[in-house]
Amino acid sequence: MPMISSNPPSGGNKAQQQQQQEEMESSTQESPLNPNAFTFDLPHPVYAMAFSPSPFAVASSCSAVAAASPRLALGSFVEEYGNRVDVVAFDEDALAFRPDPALSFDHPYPPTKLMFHPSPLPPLLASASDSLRLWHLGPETAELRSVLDNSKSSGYCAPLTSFDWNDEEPRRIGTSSIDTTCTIWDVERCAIETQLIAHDKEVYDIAWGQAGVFASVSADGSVRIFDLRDKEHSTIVYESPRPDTPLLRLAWNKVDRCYMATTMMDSNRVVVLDIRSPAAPVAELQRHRASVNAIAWAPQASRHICSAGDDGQALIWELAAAAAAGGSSEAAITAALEGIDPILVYTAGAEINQLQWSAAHHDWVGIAFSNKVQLLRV
Amino acid sequence: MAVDPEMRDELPEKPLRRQLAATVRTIQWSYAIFWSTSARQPGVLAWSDGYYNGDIKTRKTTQSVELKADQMGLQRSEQLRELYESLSAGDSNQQMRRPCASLSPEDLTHTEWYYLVCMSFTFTLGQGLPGKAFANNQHVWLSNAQFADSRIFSRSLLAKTVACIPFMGGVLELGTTESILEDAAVVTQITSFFWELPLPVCSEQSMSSPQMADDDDDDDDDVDDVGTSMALEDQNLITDHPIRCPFALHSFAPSEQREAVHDKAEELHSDHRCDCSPGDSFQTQQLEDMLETEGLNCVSQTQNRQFGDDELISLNSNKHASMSVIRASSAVGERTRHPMLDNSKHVLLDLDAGDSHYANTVATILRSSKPVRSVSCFLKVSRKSNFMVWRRGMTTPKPFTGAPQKLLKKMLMDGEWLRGGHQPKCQEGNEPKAWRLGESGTGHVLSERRSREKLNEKFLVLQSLIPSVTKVVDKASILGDTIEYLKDMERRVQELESCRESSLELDAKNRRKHPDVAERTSDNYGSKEMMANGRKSCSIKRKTCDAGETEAEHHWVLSRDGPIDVIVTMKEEEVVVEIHCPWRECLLLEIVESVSNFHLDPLSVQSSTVDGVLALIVKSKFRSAIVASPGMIKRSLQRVIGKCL
Repeated sequence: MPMISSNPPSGGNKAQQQQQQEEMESSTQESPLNPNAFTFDLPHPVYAMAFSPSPFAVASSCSAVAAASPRLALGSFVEEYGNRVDVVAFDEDALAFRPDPALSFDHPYPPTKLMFHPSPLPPLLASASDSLRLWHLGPETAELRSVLDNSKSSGYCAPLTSFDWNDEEPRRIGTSSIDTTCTIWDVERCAIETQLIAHDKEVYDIAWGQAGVFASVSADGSVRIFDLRDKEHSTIVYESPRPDTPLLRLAWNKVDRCYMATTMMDSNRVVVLDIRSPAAPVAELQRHRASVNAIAWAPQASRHICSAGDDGQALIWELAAAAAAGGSSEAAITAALEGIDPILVYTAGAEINQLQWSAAHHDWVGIAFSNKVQLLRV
Repeated sequence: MAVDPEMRDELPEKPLRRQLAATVRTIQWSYAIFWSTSARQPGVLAWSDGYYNGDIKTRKTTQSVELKADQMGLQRSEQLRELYESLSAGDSNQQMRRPCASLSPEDLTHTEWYYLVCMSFTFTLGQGLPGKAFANNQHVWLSNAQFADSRIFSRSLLAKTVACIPFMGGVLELGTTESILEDAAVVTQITSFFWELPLPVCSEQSMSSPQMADDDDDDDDDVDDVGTSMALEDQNLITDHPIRCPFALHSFAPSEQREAVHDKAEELHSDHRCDCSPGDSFQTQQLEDMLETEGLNCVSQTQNRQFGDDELISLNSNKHASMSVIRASSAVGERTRHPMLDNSKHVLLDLDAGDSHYANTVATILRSSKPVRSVSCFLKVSRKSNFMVWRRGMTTPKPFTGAPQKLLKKMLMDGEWLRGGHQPKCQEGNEPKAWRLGESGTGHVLSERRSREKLNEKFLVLQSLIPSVTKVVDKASILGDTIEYLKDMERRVQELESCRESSLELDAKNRRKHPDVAERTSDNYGSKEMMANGRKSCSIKRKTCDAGETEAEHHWVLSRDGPIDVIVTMKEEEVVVEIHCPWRECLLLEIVESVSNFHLDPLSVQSSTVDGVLALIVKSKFRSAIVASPGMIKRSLQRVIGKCL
């Protein structure tokens, strides 16, 4: 497959023809020549990906285009100490990615997650690997602003598996670690706000629901919700059916806070939960043909979720409102029996390791597979 | 006539603008700007005044009466200037304060925008075209400006051809959106025009209109050629050729814009006729004076003709306008395809690398107007989705056969890379058990981890059961302690059992001593701290037990009919079994049987039955090498005895 770094859009007709062709053949060969997928090649595999929140203010000396277009931060995955984070802008004029080498920086160990500050100013990027680091993406260069280290007197640092930046309270970042704890940081003071032993085993993902409420998933197979006002108790929302099947990823719907989704290890299912009715999932989305690697809720719609997995497919699902009710309607019954079907599918050429839905531009989804990053339009 | 830019709002400025207007209109270019040395920044050329003659998107006038072309043009330029000033003031309330008839950003075309932005430019000596012209005191002509290096001309989006003429202490810049080759004649034209007095476009159509009208009728394909060839001819030839329109005129399909302008042009035209006469003669006089000084004798003729051209120009202005519209859109549209004013003032510009000033100005201007919305960013891209509709029967992509969730697992679990070369601060000893070097096959790692964890749990349990002397809690020591403890327990059990049996005769004493013994025993078993002592005392007891048999343990097994007492003593290979139990039928036989089960050869048997109690002493010897422990023999005998009852 030719490696093209920019695909200028041809007229709508051509794309339509191609799509029709594809549909007629009813095969899902990879669509690398899709004129509207914009691919960025890197010399190394990418895992962590983050979209910038919204266009930055036109204040910098660089041209207005670059500042206004969205930026992607891409973290490499190289199994050694030296890794990189690249900051890439998408130039909608040239319809190509434009890496910003001035803003790319070296990173110790592969970042397990990257995330921008929820508001565009200050332009901060957080990364987690062995500890949480905050980087300031200035107009000319990126510099390390602080290292939020979890080590206590023993100097021991447990690697972080994930973190989440609280939208409502941007001072808070919650991190999850393999030492079974979740740590809540105050990034303005660069100090720990609180630390909880969240699970019996390693915690693999964490997501904020409200300003003081977060959920985490762990190798012990449970999804637990914690409230910072009552740190002694947590609520188990779901436990994996086979005991001790680790839950790997968690996503909390930012629009409708009742719903969250999680994935299991070696499982092709996406489990959608309603926190009002624990232990009984709303839906189990089972159309992937291999294990699911990443999930992302739509940033603006309350019922759409996108998932990507080892089968190289990115599926977009729509959860009907009646799914939770489980009434006697036929659709509900069918759904209960056979599972919900996705509405949209995109086939990449290889296992998709990462999926992010841009919060600033609601119809763009970024996926990472092998050494490439693609921007897909929904 | 150098005009002080500070006094731009005063009347003396107007003549300059009118002159610019006249100049640019006569040669039908798009704009004229006069750069003069700024009073604020010496040595820098700044915007002094300008006239915009390009296409216009939205007209806003307060008067109901239609103005003449020149006046409209002037007003337009004035409005543009006002707009620039209000935008650059950057007040967010601009919209409120501007009079409703003033322009707002969405009313402008591309070229108007660029013209507006030009107002912010400044040039030092030698910088840019105006600067160069000023420095060298020579006119500079740039055709095909869009291909020009941005150092030379950075505003190429505004015009394709630009001429800068040093003039009157400043630089006169004219530009057009068409590509025109350099023409010295035009330069002279421009300079000569610039000497016109206030009423610019007065035509002396009476003189030459018939001729011009005729010429006008030609829809020339070869006007282009004429135009270009004209450029190459020297000046004299210009006078000979009737100047229809030096630039190409194509006939276009009627468009709304063109018609509208056409109507206006006609009105203006009619206005023209009644105008001008007063100043005409004056003009002519002046011109002639000027031209005489320049030594162009035949220019007067030219001038006359060119005055006639004004009418032609006004007549044709509609065509020109539409042409320039189309040209402008084609010239500019390649770069900014979408009307940049349609969506929330977001300017999608394809800017040259060195165009920062331009960009900044535009950005500043736009920023002070409505806020930029983010969504518009991507409107440019086709709306076609990358995703396909999902169908049930879709054939599978090539099935995935590798390790599932490989990267994800590596990220979350293995942490190999963390251990890989660099170990920053982690201590060696306190490594948590779950976090160890795993194989790349993560499934194995997990099951290994599970079994490890189970083992560890059990070790912990074991540790809690075993009294260990030292504080060391590693697995080896736990196991060692367990082994020792087990052996110890076995020994004690044996000794206790044998002690008990040998002290059968000492019933009373033993019974008395029982509690003590029991206490001591429980003491020993109870507290771990005293274990060290306890063990020793226990062993002491054992020894005494073995040796003296004075304090023996008694094992009272109560049966229904009476106590059963079984004592088994073992001395080397000889086993002595003493039994006191209630008598029953066939008991003796069973006892002997069970004894023989232990591979014992009975040597002698003494038995007596007193009051229903059997007293039996069996001395036996081990038949073979198989040795049974006294405890075992005793227990089995007890079983035998007890079961029949």
